[in-house]
Amino acid sequence: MEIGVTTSCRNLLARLFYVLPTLAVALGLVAASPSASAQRSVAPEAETCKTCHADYVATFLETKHGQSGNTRGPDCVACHGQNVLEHAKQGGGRGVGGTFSFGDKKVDADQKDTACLSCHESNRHLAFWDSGAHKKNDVACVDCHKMHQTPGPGSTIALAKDNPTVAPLQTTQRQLQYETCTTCHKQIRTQLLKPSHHPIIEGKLACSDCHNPHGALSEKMVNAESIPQLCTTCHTEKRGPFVWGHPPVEENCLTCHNPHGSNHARLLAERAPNICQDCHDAARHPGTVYDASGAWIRPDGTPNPSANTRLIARGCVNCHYHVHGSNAPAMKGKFFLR
Amino acid sequence: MRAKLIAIPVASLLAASPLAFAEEGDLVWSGSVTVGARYVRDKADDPSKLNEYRDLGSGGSGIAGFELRGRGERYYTNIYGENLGQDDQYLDVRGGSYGVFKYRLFSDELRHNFGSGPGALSPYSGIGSDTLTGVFPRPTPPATAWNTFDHSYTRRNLGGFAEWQATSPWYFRVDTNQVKREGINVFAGANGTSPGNGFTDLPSPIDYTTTDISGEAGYSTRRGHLAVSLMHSKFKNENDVLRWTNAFFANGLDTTVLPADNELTRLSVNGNLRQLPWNSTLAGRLVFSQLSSDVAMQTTMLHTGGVFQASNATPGTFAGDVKRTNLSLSFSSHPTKAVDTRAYMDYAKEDNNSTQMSFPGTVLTGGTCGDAAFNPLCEPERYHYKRTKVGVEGGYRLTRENKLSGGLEYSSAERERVDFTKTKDTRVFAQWKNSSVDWLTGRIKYQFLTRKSDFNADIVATTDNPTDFYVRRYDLANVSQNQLKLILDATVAPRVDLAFEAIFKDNDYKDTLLGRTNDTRQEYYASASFGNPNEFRVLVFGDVELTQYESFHRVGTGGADPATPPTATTYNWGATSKDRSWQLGLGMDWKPRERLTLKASLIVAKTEGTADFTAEAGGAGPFASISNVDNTKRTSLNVKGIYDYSKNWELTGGYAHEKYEYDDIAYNGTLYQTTAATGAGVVTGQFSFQPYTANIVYATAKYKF
Repeated sequence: MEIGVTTSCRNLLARLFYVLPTLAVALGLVAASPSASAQRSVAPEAETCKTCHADYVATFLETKHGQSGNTRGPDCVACHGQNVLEHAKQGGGRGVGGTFSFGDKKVDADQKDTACLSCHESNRHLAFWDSGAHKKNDVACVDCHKMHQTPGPGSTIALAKDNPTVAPLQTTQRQLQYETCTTCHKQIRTQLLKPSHHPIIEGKLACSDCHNPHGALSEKMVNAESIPQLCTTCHTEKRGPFVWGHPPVEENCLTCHNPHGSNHARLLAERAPNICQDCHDAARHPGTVYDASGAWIRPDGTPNPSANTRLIARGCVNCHYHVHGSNAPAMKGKFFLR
Repeated sequence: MRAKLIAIPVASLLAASPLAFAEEGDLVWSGSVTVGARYVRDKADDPSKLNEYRDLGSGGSGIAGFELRGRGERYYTNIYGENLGQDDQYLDVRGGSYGVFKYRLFSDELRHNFGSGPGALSPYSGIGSDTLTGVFPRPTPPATAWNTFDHSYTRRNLGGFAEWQATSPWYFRVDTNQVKREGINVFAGANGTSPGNGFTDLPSPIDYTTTDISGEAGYSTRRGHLAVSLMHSKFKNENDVLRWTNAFFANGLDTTVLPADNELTRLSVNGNLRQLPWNSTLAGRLVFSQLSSDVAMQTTMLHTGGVFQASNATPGTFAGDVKRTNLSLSFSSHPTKAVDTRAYMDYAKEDNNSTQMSFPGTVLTGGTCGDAAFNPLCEPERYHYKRTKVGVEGGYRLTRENKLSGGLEYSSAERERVDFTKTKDTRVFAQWKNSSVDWLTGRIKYQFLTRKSDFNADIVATTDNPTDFYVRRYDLANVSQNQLKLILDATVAPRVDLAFEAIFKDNDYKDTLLGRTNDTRQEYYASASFGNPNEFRVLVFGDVELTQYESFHRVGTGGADPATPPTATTYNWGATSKDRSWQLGLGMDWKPRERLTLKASLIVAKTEGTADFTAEAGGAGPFASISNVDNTKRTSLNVKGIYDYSKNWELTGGYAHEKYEYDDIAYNGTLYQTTAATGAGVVTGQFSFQPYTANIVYATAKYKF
């Protein structure tokens, strides 16, 4: 007898019903609009640049900066310097004519950022750029944002992705943000690929859902004032307040969990019962040794119908399930049993 | 459902608005429509690990997606959809008018799968409702007396924002979203009152809705920024309690209290002043928040003998009320080209003004709860804390290629907690970044942290567990931490990049008698990539991670002092837990022909965990080591070919193979029920049948215009 939520034919048709009106309106807009092949106009200076850098100009036009209607958007000169014509006259080359190259490693991050901040410094999401770790560690805007690259599917912003994707089969076609972040934060990629992980490589959560890469006043540039406040933005059922709280839960979720990935289920940094016994000890349980003799299969390979309930499954949390807090009365709540 | 019906027409209207307001010939449209099919053949008793976050159900399924981009003189819009009709459907509409406004609407779905088939069996009826009934004892599965269920829940996040920028430098922004989770998750309940009474897995209904709305008004210029935002978040659980047959209590109907509704309101003011003397910026943030939750307490609970006993909850309603205040300030300076500094402070305070509950005279006692000597009224402790952190950092460029950085941070916290009331942390770090060699950049960072904590020696007056006097909980215990990071990035030849990272972290809980005494983490990562991303690029990486936890414990009723000589039943013992993981990854993008792109990815990832136990001489033992704590091996192979058949048509075909192996002491060989030697346990089989093999083929056709 199958009980529970299943994706029935009805659900499938219902989902398509929601999507089709949008698709129909969108296709209608396309039908009513001028041909998609209409030529976009470019700033006058860019005509000179196109002579040698046609591909760069073409990809620039794909970005928000390059939209012909974006009169506030930059042209080639705004970022690369005034001497573009001199550059062309002298036959081109990196730095020739005084053009500014963002790919030049000899140019400091601060200098590269000056071009971007000349327009974007007043953007709300850059309010704490000066206080953030990226600026402090000489990360430039162009290390993550690409002006001469077509934005990936579903995006209006092109992010850096220099390397092939290395991940299990992904059902999303979007270019995912973690590919940019793990270019530098390499060991984070391997944590994301661990057995227990947030759905980041599946495209359901982005690095910026927890961190603000443009700077923040919080440690590790997280998007909240503290770790519990950050985590309970999504895990709202654990927000409380509870009648019976668990102090390490209220102070720091990372006491027990590793949010980027873990060998252990539920992102636990260490498995139960060991992680619980690191804080809790008593004459009987939880001070008892829970060794392999309590498993479903004994060390000699025989089945063990009297398996130890503190070792199998979730360990301590089999009984003390409500470890994040409980509203049950008296001892039922104090020991997180109900 | 209602939110979806509203969202889609609104999205359609917004997408149509550029055309409505634009002059003829303004918008230029491009986009694509993708259709295809996928076939999954899996070999798994329980394929929930394969489908944990992906909709890869066995058999055939359709693939559908689309994208539309409209670009005009004044307006722009992007409409995107993928996995249409699937559990992981994604829809996104964004756009706006340059310099005037921008908006986004989205709908993002996923199903989190936990178990199915033999990995989701329960002796209960009524799964999916708030009442589980059953007759115990039950014959062990796969007898028909057990029910299968779908151990999963769907998560749908529907939301958007609108930001008005036309009155720049003033701006106004509204964000809202609703997350709905529906399905089943397996909770658990202790059967009786004593630790030895066992537990029962409880498939519980998940029907959570979280609705957030926030508004922000700000003034932002190159010289400074000031913003005020107000956010309100409401969590609602459609089920207050779960009732379930408790075989231990004479098959009476027991009660598990499910997460209660709560509300959070947050007022934030943040701002900065730039272009101050010495090229400085002063930034600050002040946040007030209030979290509340009203809970009607259970007046009775099922207890020994199947009798409902009064809880004597006083008062009858718990009014949860936690207020948090946070103030952060940062002053960053760049007085010369070679020098940058930052001074910062952070103040956080949490006041728990929730109802002080008590449960006087109730029979529902245990431990100190209701004990006349320790906690006669069975009162919970309300957790408060206050923390102040100050720090300075500085960087100095010896030369353009050499930068030295350092910092000092001091943090002091006071809290309402039974063991540690005050802690003081001091952290120092030093870093050297070097790029003297054109092709090599290196960074090495060392950090030292020391914590001094005030242990409450009167703890024995508040607990009937004398062992607590000797336990030092590692989250706040005295500790010396050493951390070293080394990062090397080299471009040894054009388009040849090598990288190496090493991280070492050691925590020495030097004054801990009982509890975690030490933990160590080492991670080594190396990668090599070469080639032109537009033609041929390969990435190879390998990673090794080792973590180790050492702890010391005491068991037995013959005295809590670890210095007491051991007996066969009262003794000290130590545990060493080790986790290891290895990963090898290979990725390739190759364009052998102008119209053909090949992509491939191979990952082999392995994890292994062990736990070893030793007792002091004269104590019990020897103990059987555990050699399989979350031992896994995952092999994932993906190959894909993308062919540009014409300017408008793109064809894609791909194949993926995945194999997942799982070996774990807690789940191998599950019998679903234990006998009463240590108290009966009833499990659903979750995680016991995770291994799978899957072969997946797919093909899509994309029409571009």
